Amino acid sequence: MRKRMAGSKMVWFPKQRWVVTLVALAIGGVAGCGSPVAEFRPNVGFQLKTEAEAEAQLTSEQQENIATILEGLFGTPDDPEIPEVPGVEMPQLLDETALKMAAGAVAVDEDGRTEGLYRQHCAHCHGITGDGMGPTAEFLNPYPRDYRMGIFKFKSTPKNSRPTREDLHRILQEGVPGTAMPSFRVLPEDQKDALVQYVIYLSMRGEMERLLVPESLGVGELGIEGDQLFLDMSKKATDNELFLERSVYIQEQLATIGNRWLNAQSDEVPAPPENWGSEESLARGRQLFFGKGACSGCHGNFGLGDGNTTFDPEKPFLDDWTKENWPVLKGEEAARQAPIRAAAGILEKRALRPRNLRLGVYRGGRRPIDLYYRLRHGIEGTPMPGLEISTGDDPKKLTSDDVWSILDYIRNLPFESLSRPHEELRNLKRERL
Amino acid sequence: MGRFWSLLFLLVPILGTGLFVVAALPDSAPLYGHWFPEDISRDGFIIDDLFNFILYLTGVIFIVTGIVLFWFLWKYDADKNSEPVKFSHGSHTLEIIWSILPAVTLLFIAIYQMDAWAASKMRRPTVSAGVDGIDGTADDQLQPPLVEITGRQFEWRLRYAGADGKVGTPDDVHGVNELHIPVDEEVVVALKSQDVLHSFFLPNLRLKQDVVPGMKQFMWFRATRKGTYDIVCAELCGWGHYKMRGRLVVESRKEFDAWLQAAYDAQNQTEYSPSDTDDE
Repeated sequence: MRKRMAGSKMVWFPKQRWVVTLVALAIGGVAGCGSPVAEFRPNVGFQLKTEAEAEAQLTSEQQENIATILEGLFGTPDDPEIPEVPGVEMPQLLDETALKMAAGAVAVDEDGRTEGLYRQHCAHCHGITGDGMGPTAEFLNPYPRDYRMGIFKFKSTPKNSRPTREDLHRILQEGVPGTAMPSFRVLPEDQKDALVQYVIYLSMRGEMERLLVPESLGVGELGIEGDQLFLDMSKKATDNELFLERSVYIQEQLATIGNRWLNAQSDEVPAPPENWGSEESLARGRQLFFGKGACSGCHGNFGLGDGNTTFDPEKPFLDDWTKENWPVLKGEEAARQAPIRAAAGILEKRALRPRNLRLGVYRGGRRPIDLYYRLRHGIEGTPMPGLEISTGDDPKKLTSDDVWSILDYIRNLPFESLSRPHEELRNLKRERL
Repeated sequence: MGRFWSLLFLLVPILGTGLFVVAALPDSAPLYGHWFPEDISRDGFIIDDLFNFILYLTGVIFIVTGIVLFWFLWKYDADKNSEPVKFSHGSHTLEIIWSILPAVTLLFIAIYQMDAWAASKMRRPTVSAGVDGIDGTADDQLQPPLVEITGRQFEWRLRYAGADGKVGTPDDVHGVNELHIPVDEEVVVALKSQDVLHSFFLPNLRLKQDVVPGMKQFMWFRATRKGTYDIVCAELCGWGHYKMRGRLVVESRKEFDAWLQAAYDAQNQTEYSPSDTDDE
């Protein structure tokens, strides 16, 4: 046996093969370890839109300056900082230990505490920057939330206000049924709280960026000369006075952003009327659904989310995030921007559908108060409007009792047979004629 | 090399058996907790017994074949033997023996486990024996599910039957990832999937059921110990598979009822005024 092996041409050199394998493993090991440093990405969609409006383009120097200011204020994904803002109780809003828990690479520190929670659980959809453009984002419908506008859909606060921390916590706790956002209920409380804070942190950073872009292009609300915003961080120590003077603008804006988060307050929900839940209230709700409430226009006569307005291809329902990423552009500018948009990985334009109310799936929560908030304040960032409520006798406006009645009807829809509203609808039309 | 290879291969049965013994010891520091999780069910021991039976059976075969392999390597080592190789054309008797033995063993296991299978997959608890008064006939009234569990990427959505005992009515209590059940009671749950294959796994109850989209399946069990345990997804269902973790809370009937009522009340909250915020 041995003799035959030695004589054949298929002789291997076991020792050399070992060496080659070891070397290959060593090379692979060294090259394979270590990933690129995580970085915040610029808000390309917003930049392009602002550039089109300003009919100017950000120079690379300006872009760098924006990044420098943001890094000076907020740090990096691996080392986040809480900006110091005079006049804002930042510690009440963001806590350093919590941020550290949520930020950075996924790891366990020497005391056994988890770090990098955001990257472990959130970043693959919501992105390192909180831009809703993580690697799995494009496969989801609806797209993951982009935090950078500071707009959140499901909250208990009025329009144009930030959500409360409790609202964000609730989303983590319950998930958003009907979307790809799962529940994180079994995570320990301090981890959930850290994630809520990190979302607020990313959101504030995004909001700040949205102020700096137009200011740099000279079309901002402050009307600052573009170069006045330029901050040389290296001069912070040597020329502190100039640095401070120039950073006053930024500080003021940051204070506004911070205070909006701090002052977020859940809105009051008045008690439902006594006959709430009765047949009478339900019938009234049905009337209002087709009438004053104007719900059927979008949600359809059967509540299936197939109202007349939803079929106009010329006027698709777009949310604020899509509108920003896909502004209407003139030919030349469109041609210039298209490749930049593609390179930045801006998510494809997608129209919204009004909710099918018969599924009994409520993204923002199924409690009557959640649904009341939806009806009362609408869904921010989407075409779903809020209902104006009058306390007086204005017959054109709804009362809070009316809203509760509409809610009665909506909450009953999943349990109502589809053929029944048909008849009701005919009756309604006759009445109107 | 001499008898190096025979000794090396002898390590396989030795280390393999050693690993199992260490893992099964109650205080084996590095492998602690790598044996079965605590069994909190009435019927879980049946599964454990089946597992152990098969483990011992295969364990014995593993050790025997390991030693036979070693013995052949040792005895017929080329360096120690100068005799020419002898060829055999096989033994008909031996062939028959090693065909029939495994066949009989497998058949035995198949029959031996039938009752366990039937108990966990076919004999759903009944409320009454129906009109004919005989258990196990078609008109038995099956126990309705306490809760309907829907797997979706990547969470378990729960829908408790509520006061009327029926799932799919306005008084259902909705939840997610946190399953409460009463202790010492027969519990039936319905399982569904909204998207892809999942597998609802309760390690402490020794139960696992694949969940298939478009199919409604039932699972029943009786937990005998109170406490908080794990729910996991045991079927790779996508990139977020690891996220499908839940919590199983086994509590007394009284605690369960109170919890269900509290969840129902919270789900029906109709009023809020900023003054009654409980500050964080």
